Amino acid sequence: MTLSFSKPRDQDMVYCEPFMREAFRLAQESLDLGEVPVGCVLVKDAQIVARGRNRPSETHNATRHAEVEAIDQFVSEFRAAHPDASAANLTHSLSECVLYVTLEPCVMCAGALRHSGIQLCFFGASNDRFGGCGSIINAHSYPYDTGLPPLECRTGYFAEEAVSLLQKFYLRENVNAPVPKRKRTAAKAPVEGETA
Amino acid sequence: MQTVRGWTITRVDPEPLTRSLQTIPLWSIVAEASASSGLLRLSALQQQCFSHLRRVRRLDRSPGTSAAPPARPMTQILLCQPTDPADRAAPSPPPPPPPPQAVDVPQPDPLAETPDIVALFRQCVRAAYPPADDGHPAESPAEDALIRRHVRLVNVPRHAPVTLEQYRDWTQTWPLVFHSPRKGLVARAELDAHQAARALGLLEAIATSPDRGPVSALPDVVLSPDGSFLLEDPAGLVDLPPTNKPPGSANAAILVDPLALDGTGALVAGALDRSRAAGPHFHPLGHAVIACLDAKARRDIRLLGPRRRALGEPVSPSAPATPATSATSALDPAPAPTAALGGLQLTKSKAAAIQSSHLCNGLDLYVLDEPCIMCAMALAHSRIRKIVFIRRRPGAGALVSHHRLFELPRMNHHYEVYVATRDPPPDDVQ
Repeated sequence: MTLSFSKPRDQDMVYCEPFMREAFRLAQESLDLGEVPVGCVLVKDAQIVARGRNRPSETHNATRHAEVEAIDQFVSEFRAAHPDASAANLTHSLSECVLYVTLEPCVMCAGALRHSGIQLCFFGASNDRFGGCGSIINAHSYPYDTGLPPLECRTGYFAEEAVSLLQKFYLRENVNAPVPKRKRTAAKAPVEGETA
Repeated sequence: MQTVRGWTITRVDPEPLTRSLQTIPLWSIVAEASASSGLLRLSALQQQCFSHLRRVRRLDRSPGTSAAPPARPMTQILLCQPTDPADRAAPSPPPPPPPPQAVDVPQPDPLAETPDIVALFRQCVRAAYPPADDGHPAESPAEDALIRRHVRLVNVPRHAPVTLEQYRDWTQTWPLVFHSPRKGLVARAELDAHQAARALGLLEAIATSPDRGPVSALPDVVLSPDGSFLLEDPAGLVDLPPTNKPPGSANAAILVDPLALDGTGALVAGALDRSRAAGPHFHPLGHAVIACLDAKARRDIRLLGPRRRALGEPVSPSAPATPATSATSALDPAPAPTAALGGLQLTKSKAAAIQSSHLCNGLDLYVLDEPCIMCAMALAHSRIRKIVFIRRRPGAGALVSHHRLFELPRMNHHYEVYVATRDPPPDDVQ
């Protein structure tokens, strides 16, 4: 297995920037709507073909992460454009996409990316709680016995921005979560006014 | 293990519950009890990895002597982890033969450790055995002898005990701290085997009949063309006549509310696998579990409307939203789904009941195939209570075949996992 994390490369950085900017714009949109701020775009032939942002609270569905939203958008637009296409055509077309996402895909999304055949992913910050591309589990490169192609991950693109977006969210309160058992520290409260 | 009406249902025990004692060596120092508080301040043991170990052990007799208990009580204090000999930078000269001692660990020379650790030993020895005014100066052969005599490796349990039996057994090796195990490790509520057998029968019937015959007759059921369905009013689980044909290769999943209808259990939603479907229903991520979670979410949206709240809205952290008020606020900004309810009158109690169940809190999932990594994590994100599956998938399963995702300690939610097997009918035995 030749896969591994690589440091951000300058030529990648220049190429990535417009796509990552769009991903951050989507993440900001999620933040404005009270969701965990994560956004992503699917890129094919240097064109953005699908966008996704985190929507679990809005949809009552914990699986509606940005990556899943983007793949869903790709699938429905592909179907609209090619009503007669076979499943193999759809899978092949999807597997040619590259994912740009603000945060390391979680374990579920890493699995979803493997199932959709996507083979390259750029992300900003790593995710110590749920990351499925090396942080918790190596779901991106794990040799499952089902012929899924591995997912190459390149990390560290605009990581500070991704982290600061997340910090903005976690200093707020997730009104849709159950009442927490631990009390929040009062010291974090003043930030609420700054960004509201 | 429980056997009910042809089904044998076995809980998959998390590995920490079943493991036997494993030990690791740590450096320790033997000193008089009066010196132990000073030595504890010097101890450099990482708190995260060794929070299950008490730092001090009282010694009935000084190790190395088989004589009567010493006049003053002795203690043994954990200091730090030894460096792997392979990692040590410079090979040290061969150590002098250690004094013969009755110890349970082969004792390497403490002075062959890395300079940092040897410095720690010297600090400890000076604290525990303060030199007399005309006694040994620092780094003298006398101090080295003291280190060789009192600093030793001791084998301690590597893991925190999670059952009382493990604690009683392992604490003989070294005194331990015992906390009640984290959620999900020990079953909080026993799986109702009769309910599970009914749900498994229903699951098989749904998987074998392409027109979803068993559910299409239920009241309030909403069928989707892709094979998923949801129930606005959860329907009770009923005994179905056993299907004689085995379920096909297609996967199916159902969500069951185990406490609904006075504990008999109720069907909430279900779905068939779409990832291997041909034609317009194919979706690369349309695994049965994901489709089932989607159906449950569609049900919540039908009843409540989407949750949408701009961040500027003030939230009073002191007063947590009561179910009734938060249900209303969730309904307010969503005109479309309210209209889609088609005259369905949402009673306050119903809204409260749904609002109180965040995602799939308290629900059980029954599925034919062992969930893959995507589905297993989706279920953790959805806060599912228990998972019962029938067929192991050695290639891609993420619960018992690979990863054992349900017992990863760093996960924020832990669910229980059961494997159900159909006992062969009496005819097949002959």
